[in-house]
Amino acid sequence: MSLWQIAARNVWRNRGRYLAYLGSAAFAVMIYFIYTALARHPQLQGDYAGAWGVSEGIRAASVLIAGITFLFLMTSNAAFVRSRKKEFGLWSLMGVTRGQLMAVVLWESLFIGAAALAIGLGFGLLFLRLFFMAISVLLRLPEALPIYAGPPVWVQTLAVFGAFFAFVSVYSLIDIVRSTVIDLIRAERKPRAAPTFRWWKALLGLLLVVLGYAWASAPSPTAIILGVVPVTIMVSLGTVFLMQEGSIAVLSWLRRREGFYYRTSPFLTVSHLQFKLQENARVLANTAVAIAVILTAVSTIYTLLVVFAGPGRVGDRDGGGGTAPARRGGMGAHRSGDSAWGAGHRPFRLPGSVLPLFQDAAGVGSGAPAA
Amino acid sequence: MLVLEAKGLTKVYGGRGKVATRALNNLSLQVRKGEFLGIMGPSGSGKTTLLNLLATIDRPTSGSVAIEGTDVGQLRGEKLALFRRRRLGFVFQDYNLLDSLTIGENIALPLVLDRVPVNIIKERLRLLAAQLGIDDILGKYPYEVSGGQQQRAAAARAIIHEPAVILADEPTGNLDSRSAKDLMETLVMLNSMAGVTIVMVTHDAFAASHCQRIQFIRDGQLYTEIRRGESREAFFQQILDVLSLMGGGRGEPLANRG
Repeated sequence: MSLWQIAARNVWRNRGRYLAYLGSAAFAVMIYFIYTALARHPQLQGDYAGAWGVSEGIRAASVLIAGITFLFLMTSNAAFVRSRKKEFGLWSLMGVTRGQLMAVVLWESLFIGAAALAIGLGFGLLFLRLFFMAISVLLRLPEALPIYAGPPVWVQTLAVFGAFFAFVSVYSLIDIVRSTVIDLIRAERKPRAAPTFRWWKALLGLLLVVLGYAWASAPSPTAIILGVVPVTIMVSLGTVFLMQEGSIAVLSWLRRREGFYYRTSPFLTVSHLQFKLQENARVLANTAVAIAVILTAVSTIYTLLVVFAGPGRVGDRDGGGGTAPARRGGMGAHRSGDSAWGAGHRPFRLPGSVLPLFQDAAGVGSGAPAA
Repeated sequence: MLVLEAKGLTKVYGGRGKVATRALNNLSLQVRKGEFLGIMGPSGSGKTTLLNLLATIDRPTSGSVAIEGTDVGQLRGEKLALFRRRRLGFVFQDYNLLDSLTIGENIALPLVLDRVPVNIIKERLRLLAAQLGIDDILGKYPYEVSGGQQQRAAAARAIIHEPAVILADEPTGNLDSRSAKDLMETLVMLNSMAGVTIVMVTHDAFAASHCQRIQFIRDGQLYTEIRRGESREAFFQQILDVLSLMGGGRGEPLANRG
């Protein structure tokens, strides 16, 4: 039995904890793979009108997905490493050198990364057809998009997630190497500090959220398109801050109301929640942000696709300018029915009009807006 | 022959903005080979700090620790790890066995880490387990056996690689009186039969009465020292007398330990 066998045995006996992490990482890889496959689909690369918008929209979504996944990987890896600190401390005390410890941690996380990639890519390939079929139905294509998973898709997924996993591994290593043996061993025993309300953080969070949504609902389409990235960041950060500080504020307010607090169940629940929520605030906020961003991304793409897939009711669009593009796109698609796809030789023929806002945003127009 | 020698140990915590606390103040200590030394003192007296310094997991602000003539303050990184692995054994209050290894694997861990051939590991494990009366639980996991058995396994793990000294931090702190008695008898047996040197920090006057010599610490300094005569019972009484003289100590909740 060597140190490596001990490490391997450790992984096997703690497989529950590892599997949760592995499963979620693999899921992220799968989603990213499928999205990349769509973004790089050759039939979406043509020089039809609006091609730029469609593939850019999908590409933006895959960047967002990568970003969220990265945050998620960091959080779950940090929790994972924390739960093992005591074990690492014991090993050090037994005379495992820093080098050996680092090697074990590094190999372990690299192995998990590789496994997550393999599983994620496998399932991605499996569900690719289903996803393309769904997209085709969504776009009302006369025939389903053919399966596409060319080398660029693989390379991109492997590169992005390989970098992610490597970064996360090194990050957790630094955490371990920096702490002394005493820190590691006593990690569990350390008393936790009571969370305190920071009004400036709450205020900042509120400000960011309000400003973000105000920007997102601005009357000018140009502002909306320009705001996609900053608004997402603002609202995400704002949500995290509000979530953290809001939970503390509500609970400490409850605690001050003595008539309410000094009874059995509020006494135990509120005091406990104050710590628990703080611990989980980041995970909760991450989940909230992830859901929000995914919903936004999905609806953006859907809107884009419907707008561009719809018939060219251009006068309507150029004149309006003020209302949300989603609604108009939806209506356009509705009215168009299947007639737009009547000409059958090109499965993905798109009408020759682009919303002016894409020309604004990109400075390139793939088709002149017929007035 | 001296196994362990601490000279002028001083440890100051805090500083830079915080209020500095002097956990140890110019404390010196000598332990001869084969001795069973107890260290007692009230909470905050610096016992755990002292043990951490002896265990090489903390560094003194000033002063030095030498184990078998090696100044451990001079050791760094790889060499320090190697020294810990070969020359030190640890017993903790909360056992600290690895949950994912069986009792037998836990005991063998120090040898495995040192790449000792497997047949030698097996042989030593068998002998030691028989000696400590835990040979029937070697295949079980820590959560399947009692606290007393876990602690005896921990003691076996501390000794299997024949270290220069075993450092025990409140080894009976989590045990019921029956298991505590068994463990202390095990430690005494290892000490007298195998000639193992043991340094034990404890609150428990009963556990301490198994030692040959007890150093009392207060406010980071040596307070007094007593040696055991013929009878353990008389020694026990003597310890209680010193504790009541010193104040604190007895009946103090264990959870308050730093």
